[in-house]
Amino acid sequence: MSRRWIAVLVVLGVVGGLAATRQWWLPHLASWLDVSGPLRRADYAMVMGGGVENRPVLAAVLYRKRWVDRILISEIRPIPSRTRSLIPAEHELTKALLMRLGVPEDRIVLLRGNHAATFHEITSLRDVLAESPSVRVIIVTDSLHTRRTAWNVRHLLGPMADRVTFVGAPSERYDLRRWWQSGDGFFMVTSEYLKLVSYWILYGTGKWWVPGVIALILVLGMLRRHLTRYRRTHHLTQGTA
Amino acid sequence: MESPHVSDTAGQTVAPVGERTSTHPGRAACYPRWRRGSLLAVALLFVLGVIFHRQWLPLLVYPLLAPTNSHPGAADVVWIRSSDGHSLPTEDAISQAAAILRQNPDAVVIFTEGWPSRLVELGVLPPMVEVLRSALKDYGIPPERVIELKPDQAGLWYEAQAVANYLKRHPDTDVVFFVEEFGGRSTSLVLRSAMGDDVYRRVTLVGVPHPLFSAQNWWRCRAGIKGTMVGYLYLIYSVIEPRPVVSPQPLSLDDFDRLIPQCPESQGNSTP
Repeated sequence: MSRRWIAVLVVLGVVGGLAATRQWWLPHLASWLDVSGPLRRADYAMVMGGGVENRPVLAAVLYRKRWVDRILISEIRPIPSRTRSLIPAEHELTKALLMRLGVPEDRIVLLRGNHAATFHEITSLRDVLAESPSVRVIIVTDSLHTRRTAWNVRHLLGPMADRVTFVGAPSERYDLRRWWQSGDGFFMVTSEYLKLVSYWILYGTGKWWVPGVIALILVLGMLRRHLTRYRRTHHLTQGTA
Repeated sequence: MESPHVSDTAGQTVAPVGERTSTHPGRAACYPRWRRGSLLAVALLFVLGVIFHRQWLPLLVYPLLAPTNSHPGAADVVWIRSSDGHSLPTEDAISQAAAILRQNPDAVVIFTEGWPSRLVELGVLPPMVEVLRSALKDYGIPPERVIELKPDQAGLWYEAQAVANYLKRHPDTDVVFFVEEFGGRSTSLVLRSAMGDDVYRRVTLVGVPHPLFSAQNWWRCRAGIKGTMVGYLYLIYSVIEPRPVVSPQPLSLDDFDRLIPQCPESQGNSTP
């Protein structure tokens, strides 16, 4: 049997094995994204933007059960002409929902800015933590979003990251144990992995690693080619001598 | 097996046929001519690709667009949906819907909701059908021309079934459905699966661009690149599984409450 056929059989075997055992390993892809830690009392719960249906609800529970004293929300960059003034901006909805769930207005702190991504929100949090060295924060976001948020926190806050913990809010649109069986679950898990890679390249060390590895592969390829050519030439020269 | 190399009478190494590297004596290590040509072609293509990116980048999102992305003609029914229960399609979609309704005085809007919103349940926002009625009222469209359809379960597939049932009761009507531009193809797959081919033929999908980007300029902003990624992920899933497999399990406020225990450090303290 030729090498090519063996390779084809190995690939088919791996794909078949992965398909047969998907019920076992696919849930781990989702659980790896969830880095919610044990709860620790803090001064603030920070509600990350992008999940107005579930994140503020969990933040209100944290406040009511006295895990936090105040709630931080970020001003989200508005999308122009979004049904004019009929629907308020996301941070206004979050604030209204928190108040409806029993959080007093003076306990809600708005982080002003043009936030459009997790990276921007954590940058604003850095300023809060830098101003008050003893402040601790619980970040409230979707369970699948906690790893990327934690990556941003470590990357942007440095030693201050120890003052931040994470709580993952559940979503009714998908079940983490069967995420691939719903469109929203499939989208959330796959997009989080893609976003993690893009964050690593845009904001992390990926911008050095990716070109570095490409350059290394090119150099190794050229070396291999020259070495092969040298060996061949050398071998023939010896043979003719 | 490798082809044997031979030496000519002058003692120079000669590569086998097909591996000859150079016709010039003493330049055996150079790239073959065809390979140098292909490298140049790749470099030229790269440069041309950068220069003419406005011409080819829109083609990358072409698979995401609705297959019948034509301007709606005279329609009897306009279908507008709120995917999350707390937002509506863009102003552009609403103004186009209003134009159709003004053109055809018998036309109506059918409204469906993808998910019931907690913001509406708790009274933070009015129901989206009321918001839509109020938005259309600004264009002179009376509220009674907006009909709300209630699907059996949450999600586009069930909404499409509700619309299909409506269309079966009104056999002479055609529908215009406003969708997000980059969600056109995936939406069409779900609709076809839910409605069946006969009813689906009566639906015209109109892709409405996002306020920040369109197929012609999506690469210029972060939202456009994200929108492209979202569009492709939903398209992949819609190709694999257009029909929902599992039903959503609604979470009550008590479910959230059960997730968080009372803080032990603040036992006995007053409310913060």
